[in-house]
Amino acid sequence: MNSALLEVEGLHIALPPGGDRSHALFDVSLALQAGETLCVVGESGSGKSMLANAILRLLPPALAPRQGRVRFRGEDIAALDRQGLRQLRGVGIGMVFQEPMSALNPLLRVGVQIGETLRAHGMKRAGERRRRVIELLGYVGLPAPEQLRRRFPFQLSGGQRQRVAIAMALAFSPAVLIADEPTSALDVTTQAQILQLLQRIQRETGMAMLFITHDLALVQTIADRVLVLQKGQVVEQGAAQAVLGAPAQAYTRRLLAAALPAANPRPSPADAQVVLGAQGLNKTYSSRHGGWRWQHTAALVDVSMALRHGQTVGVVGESGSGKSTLGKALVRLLRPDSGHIQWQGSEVAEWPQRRLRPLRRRVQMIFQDPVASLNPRQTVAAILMAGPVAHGATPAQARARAELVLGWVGLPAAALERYPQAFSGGQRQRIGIARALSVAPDVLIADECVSALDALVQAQILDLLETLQQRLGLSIVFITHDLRAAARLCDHLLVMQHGRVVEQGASAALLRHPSHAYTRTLLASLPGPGLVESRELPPAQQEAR
Amino acid sequence: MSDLLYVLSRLLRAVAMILGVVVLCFVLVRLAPGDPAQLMAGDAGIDDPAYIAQLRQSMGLDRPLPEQLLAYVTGIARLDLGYSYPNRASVWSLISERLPATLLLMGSALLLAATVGVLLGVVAARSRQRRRWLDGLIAQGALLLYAIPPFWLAMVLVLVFSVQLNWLPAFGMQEVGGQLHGWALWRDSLAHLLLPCLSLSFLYLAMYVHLARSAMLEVMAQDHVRTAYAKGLGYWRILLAHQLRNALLPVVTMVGLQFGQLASSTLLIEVVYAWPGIGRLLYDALSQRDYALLLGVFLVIGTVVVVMNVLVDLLCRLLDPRIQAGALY
Amino acid sequence: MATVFKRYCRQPAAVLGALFIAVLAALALAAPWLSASPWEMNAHPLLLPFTERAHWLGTDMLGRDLGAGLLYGARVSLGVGALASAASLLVGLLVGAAAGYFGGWVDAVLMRVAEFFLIMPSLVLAVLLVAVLEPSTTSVVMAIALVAWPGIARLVRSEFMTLRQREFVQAAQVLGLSPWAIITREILPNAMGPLLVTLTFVMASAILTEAALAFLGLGDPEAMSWGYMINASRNLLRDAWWMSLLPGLAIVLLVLAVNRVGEGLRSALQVPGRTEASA
Repeated sequence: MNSALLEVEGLHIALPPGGDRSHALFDVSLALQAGETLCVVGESGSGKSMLANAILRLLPPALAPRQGRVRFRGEDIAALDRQGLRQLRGVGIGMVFQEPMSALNPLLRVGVQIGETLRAHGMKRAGERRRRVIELLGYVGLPAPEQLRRRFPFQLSGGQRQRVAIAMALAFSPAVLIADEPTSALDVTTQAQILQLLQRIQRETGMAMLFITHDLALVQTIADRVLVLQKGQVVEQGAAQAVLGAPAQAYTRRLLAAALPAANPRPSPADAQVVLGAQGLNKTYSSRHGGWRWQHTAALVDVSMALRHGQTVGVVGESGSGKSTLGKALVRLLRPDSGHIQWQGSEVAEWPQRRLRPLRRRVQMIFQDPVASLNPRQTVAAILMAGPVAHGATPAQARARAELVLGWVGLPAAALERYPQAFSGGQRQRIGIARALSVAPDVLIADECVSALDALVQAQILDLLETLQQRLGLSIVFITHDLRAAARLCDHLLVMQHGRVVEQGASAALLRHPSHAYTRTLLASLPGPGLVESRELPPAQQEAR
Repeated sequence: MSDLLYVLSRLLRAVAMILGVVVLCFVLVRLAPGDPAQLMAGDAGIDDPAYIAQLRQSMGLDRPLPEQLLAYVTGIARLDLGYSYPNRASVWSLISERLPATLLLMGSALLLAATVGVLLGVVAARSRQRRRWLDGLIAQGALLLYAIPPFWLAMVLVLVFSVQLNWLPAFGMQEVGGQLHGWALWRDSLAHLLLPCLSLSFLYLAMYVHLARSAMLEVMAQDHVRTAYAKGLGYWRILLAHQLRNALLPVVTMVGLQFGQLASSTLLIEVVYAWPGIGRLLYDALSQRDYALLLGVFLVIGTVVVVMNVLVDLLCRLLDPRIQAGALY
Repeated sequence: MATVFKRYCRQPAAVLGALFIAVLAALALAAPWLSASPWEMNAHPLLLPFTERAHWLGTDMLGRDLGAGLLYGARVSLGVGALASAASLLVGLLVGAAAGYFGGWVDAVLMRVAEFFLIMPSLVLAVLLVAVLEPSTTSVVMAIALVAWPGIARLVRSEFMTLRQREFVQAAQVLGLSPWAIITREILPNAMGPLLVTLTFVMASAILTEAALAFLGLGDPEAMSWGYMINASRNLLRDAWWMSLLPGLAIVLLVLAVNRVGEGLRSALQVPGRTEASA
């Protein structure tokens, strides 16, 4: 182990008193060898980002390590002076962060931001810097580097920005790259490209990589070794195959099960009644761009769909595909430019809000953000009673209803008197579901309703949705960017791109034999094992499920 | 091309705003109780029937309102701001003579407040981690300064530095009757400028401290600053190019918006120090009920403020590439 | 609501500010019983403070009691401050809500007008208005409200705009709540915090503007005010420093107290666990 490039030994970082635990990191040790990829996996709050920042001494003084050592090439980084630290940061170890938008200074051209790194570490001649910037931008696969270096971050796409950030980190071919959730904010196809890029760089330069992520599927694709972190403590670490193939700890097993849910294609009830239908929906957003020019974005182009009683229809697509617009049109939070929408057979696309109101209780929505979707100034009781009261229930009836639905989502009645802030993300999402159920709807539209949650909580919420669907006979439109979650829950899938439905069909068939090129790209970009193939069961057994 | 369009659109808005000032003046005079001509003549001119008749003629009071407005606007476009009866001079000549003194006072106070304010704000924000007391001291001090009426502060400063200590002159722009040249003149002017400039700048200093501090705190917490550290950049590069530069944007925007308030305070300070600017002019016009002069002062100050706002907008666009051409907010 | 109150009470400076305002308001209300008219010239002129028991804050050049002036001045400052804030709130709420609700060209026009009044030199405009309308409490209040409403209107509009996009408001709409219920139950309680805080700053600047107007001789000639007292002392700096010092200190303390209350409200009304983006 003496040859380890980067070593962390018994690292302790204390949290300020009053938090939910005393340590952000407790006795964490790891060793990174040249050329290997070590994945640090954990849920939010596990301390994994703290670990990354601690290695480069980027934490505020209040969070200085209490115990333990970080060594780079055998040298203790705590002992470095200011010069040594700068040398470590720019030259020895490169770092890439999660949010490609905020990780770059919005006011400086990307070429300048790469160039200043070069300058800070001794490249004094401007011509030399410019050549190196262009070389780096080309190396990370950005087109037309000569023009691109003069762009500002806001003029680039998310994937391009992350490539710029990587180019910046690679300026001096560091021996170690620390990547803190570098692909979490990106679409799945972009994520695949960035991962390929990182792996190519690693192959070509022999750089070691400390890759921090919450996504075990992704770990399966890239890791040589894995370290599982829970509440600041190492649960398990070892070779990727060992940890992922035969996890020794229950926590790891649970994470794995949640991260790679079994695709669960169910036969579609093809003959059941259509409870929600849409035909030929169009919606175009117009925004003023540069003063007098109007920019039109087609969010929905001729979209049709049908949701049958008891069915779950998944709407899958990347950001900007129009899937959220479809969800909002279906609950009539916005009015489509043209097309038809039926709720239980009533044609509602053109109805004014006043006329819609009595019918609204039939179609409810579950929102993405568990923080923003609950009014912080109301108790849970007030949140849950508003719907029934609006539809004519007495306060006593509404109260009884609130207690009932709260029970359905697995929260105690004591929760009624508390405010949303008192609950965790998963619990809040349960309250959001309870609110939707409070008016006894037939249809639920869930817009990315688990994407803000940790994998374990995601799995619980998906299970809950499935249970409720069976118990209450709900029909669900499940809007998501996450193909795994969609495959886990949905009978029928719509794949959207640029506002159009490019492909739709029964989940099992669509995932096994995608016919559209875009669907195939999506499936191929998915990290980890394939959705259907890897778990393919003999036909007889599959029927039995 | 889009730059040109942007500048043009800004200028167009500026013209519209100045027109708004003009219309406001017009409406005020017509809305006031009593005869507009008698109002405009003021206390001094009211007993001069010939003057009132002439005013009535030039204001076109016998014609319909739109025509009156048109005549008023075209008059102002030719810099005809009316006649000040008590001063026996045209309003424009009175104001143009005094404007440089006001601009000097405003400019120097703004410069002082902005530089020292931003500096203190940055120091406060950067002290928050390790020297909390310094941050607290600066923030509390700013809050206190923010509550002091500038005209009263001016009087207290006079009381201390002129009356008690006799260090600095208490009023005027130059020594009365002193035939000074060269270095002595500079020294004398600076001594006269110092107290008014200080009294005027404190309020804005407090605002800029507060603004710069909160902007810095926000920027310091941003990811791109952490990236800058992770790249191994030097202290000054991070402070200047990544923190201060980004934090300056809200400060500059606010300077533009508050220029009108600064102009208002300047008038009060001029009254206390008998500074020969248009504030002093306004004060005298008030006591003589010289409405032509009052309106003229408002018009000119309003125009200066609008022009400053356009300049600040253009500066913001220069500082922030994200402000797209013509994006109106 | 109880927690908001508790969080407010945990800030000594804010509590002190509120206490100061409360005591001052009580004194101002009781002024006619506590002292004689501030215009009465019943003592030696230019008495130094703490020299005579009956006039322990001293007198001015006409032998008017400064303590009485300060008491009656508090009536003007607090009254004008409160009235002007209320008027600005009314106009700002109406305009802001109209702009936020109707959107489109109504919004564009109203916000242009608000922007115009926002960047105009407010004191000069107020001076003009009071001068044209003749100085009186009404014209002073109107002038201050005219220059103060745009801030509130812009705040109300942006709160409405952002809150309307928030998921919990959309959820209320999907639940079938009426627009009235959505505004009163979902939007207003969340807009209240920023609005209250802004209102305290409007009040502070109204007090300062009133003082400045009175200092320029544009106060209500019937009412003794702090700004007028400072103006009266202008030529007596050399002989009677206390004449300008006392009313000035009164203004500083009151404005400081109002600002402290605002700061206290700001942190008390913040929803814990959520960083206030609007601040």
